[in-house]
Amino acid sequence: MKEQLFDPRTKLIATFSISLLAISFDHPITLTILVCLSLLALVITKPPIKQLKMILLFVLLTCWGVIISQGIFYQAFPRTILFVIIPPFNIGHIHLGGLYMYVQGLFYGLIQSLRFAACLFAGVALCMSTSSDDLFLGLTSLHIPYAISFLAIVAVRFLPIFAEEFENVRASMRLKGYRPFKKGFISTIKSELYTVVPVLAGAIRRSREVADALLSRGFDPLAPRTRYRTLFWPIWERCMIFIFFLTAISIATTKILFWLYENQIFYLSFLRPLYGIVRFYM
Amino acid sequence: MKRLILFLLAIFLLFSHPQYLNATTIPITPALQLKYRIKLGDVSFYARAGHFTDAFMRFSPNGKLLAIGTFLGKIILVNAKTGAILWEHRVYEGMVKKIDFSPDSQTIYYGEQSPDGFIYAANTETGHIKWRFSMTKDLKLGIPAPKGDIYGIYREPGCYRLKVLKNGNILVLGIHSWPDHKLGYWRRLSMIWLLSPDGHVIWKWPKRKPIELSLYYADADPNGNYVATVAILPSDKLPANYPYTPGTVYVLDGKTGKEIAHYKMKPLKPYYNSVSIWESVAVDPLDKFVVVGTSDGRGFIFDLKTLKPIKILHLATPIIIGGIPVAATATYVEVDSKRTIFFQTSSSSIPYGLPVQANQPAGPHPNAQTIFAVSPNGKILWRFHAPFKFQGFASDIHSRILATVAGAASRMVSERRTKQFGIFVFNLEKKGGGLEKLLGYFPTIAPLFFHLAVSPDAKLIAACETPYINEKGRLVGTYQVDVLAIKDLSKN
Repeated sequence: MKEQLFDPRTKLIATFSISLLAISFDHPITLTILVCLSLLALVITKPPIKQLKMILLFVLLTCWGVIISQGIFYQAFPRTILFVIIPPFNIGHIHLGGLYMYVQGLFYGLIQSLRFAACLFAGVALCMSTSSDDLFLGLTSLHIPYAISFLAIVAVRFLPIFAEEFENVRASMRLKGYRPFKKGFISTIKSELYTVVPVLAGAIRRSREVADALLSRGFDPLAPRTRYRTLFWPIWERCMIFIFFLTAISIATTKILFWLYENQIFYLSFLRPLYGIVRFYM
Repeated sequence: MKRLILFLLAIFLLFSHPQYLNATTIPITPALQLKYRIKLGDVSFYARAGHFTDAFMRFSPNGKLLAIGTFLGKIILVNAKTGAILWEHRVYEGMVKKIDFSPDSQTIYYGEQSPDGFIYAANTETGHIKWRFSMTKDLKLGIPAPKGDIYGIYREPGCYRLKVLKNGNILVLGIHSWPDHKLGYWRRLSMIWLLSPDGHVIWKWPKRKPIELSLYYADADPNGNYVATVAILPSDKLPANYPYTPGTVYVLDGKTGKEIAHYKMKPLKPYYNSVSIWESVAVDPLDKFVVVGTSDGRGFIFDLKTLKPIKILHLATPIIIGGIPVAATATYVEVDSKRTIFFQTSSSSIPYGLPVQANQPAGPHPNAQTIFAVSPNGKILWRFHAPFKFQGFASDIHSRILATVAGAASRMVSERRTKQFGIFVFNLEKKGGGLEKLLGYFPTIAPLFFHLAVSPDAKLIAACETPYINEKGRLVGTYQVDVLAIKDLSKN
């Protein structure tokens, strides 16, 4: 693991704040700014170019899929047809309405994709720049209950093992002669579903082993602990992240206030400038 | 290569010259000249949705200031002569609906359409808000428009008339029309207030509760002796024996706010089942009559005290063309300081709701798209007819000029083929008919909104262009105020 630029607590709070902002924003411009911010965070961690390319490709493909699927299957109104994919047609007496690409659907898909991309970039930046030990230390230093922090770290640690196991299962399937779509679509789906069973069984077996190991060593999440290694959190970093966190909380609160106003639950006349800002910029 | 560069340079120098640009973008008219333009913001979102964005303009009594209220919620005060912006404020979550100035031009009053429905009084020099009055104490708090709902703003309480009287008191008409989800039906509440210059209520009508109908427009004489209004659409559920009825003209005592008289206008059967009006109520400055124009094409001149009709003019009432009734709405009325009544009729249409198998008139109504100048006893003095959709009137305090605009096109794409928009100005001091009085026509690229203003000295006209989507789906025009200078009237 490379030398860390920031304290794990800074990164954890920043990731949480970005997630909060991603939920709060509805406006494509503000969401784009947020995506750029989290992408910048990812670039700062200096991931290998190959990995960065993979991440970007994954995000782009996901966004493309979300935008297109929302554009086609958008159900809300009003909706404007951008172009016709399949014109309406009849099968006997049954009329089928056709398939269209909707402008509002594309827009909605774009917003969802931007939200997803912002959270993903921030999460990847956190994972790639922080060792699981530091992450654990960071979580416990933030007074997250020990049991929850432990669970989170175990989950993170086991992710590569699951990935490896999944790869092993697929390799063995290939050695047995499995090729996707070779025996038709239904057969491919069935075969793909078979991969889940051994991975899941492995996961259950491993979790029991971990539980047994913990019990045999007398693990008590509530027992008082001392730490061999402690984290140093510089003041400037604390101030910076506090401002960022406060901004995120303020924006989320503003958004909640606007939601209360929009749903006629709570309204304060002097908050009208705030409502106006949320309506047009968030 | 060198020749090409020289050629391009020559083209650039020739066509980038300001005079050339002016010559191609600003029409040259002998009597009217564009003085300046004020951009009001980006309304393309609304224009693309087919909405014509509102704006309201008013010159101060001393003629030095021009106030502009916009759909985007801006109130802009400009130097009327130079067009320099002195200050601008913003009302969030609302639009500036109506504006007027105090007689000494020191205070500007503006009413908004917003959840609070405030009337503001601000210092013209600093923009400092002196007081504000909320109409929602009577009309109920507005419901917020959902994001992206372009018409949601019109469901909020709004100021539909704001007139400052000679004594400084302010006449305010407020309407709130919205779907009341608690009661489960569409409600319409209206009320008229007379406010003192410091924002206190002198009287309100009705005295206790707002009227459950839309009082779409109201007017008073400059001294505030009488106030006239017309009730139109009621709430969807009105209690039995409700004292106020739709299609009725009400005249109030301007000093006490008590009802003096009312007159229920009969629908023009068999073509219409009800009577409707637009901004077409005007009171005589000498308190003798009140004028109302109705959507069935009639023009009423009532005695102000008794509300008995002096004259009912059939300006553009239905006539049969090709077996189909065709009419035109009497859309706007104005009574100038010399007591000349001006009526305006819209384009030809088939009376709404008639069971006829046609959606277009078989031919034009001969009195459609016409401006009528009428004497107080109902005699037509002159008229002006042109293939334009006239909308709104404005005149100066000495009744030297009358201005109108060829305004907003229909939302129907088929009706937008007539893209003739512009400002018409008539010299009322000139003898002759409408054509002789026509001082000038200033064409604009985009439709003009029906609120326009003329400066007290009859030297400036302000009108608002509002963009629209043409049949090719392209956005045409800019949301802006055009201020025109009128050349010396004596020379025309």
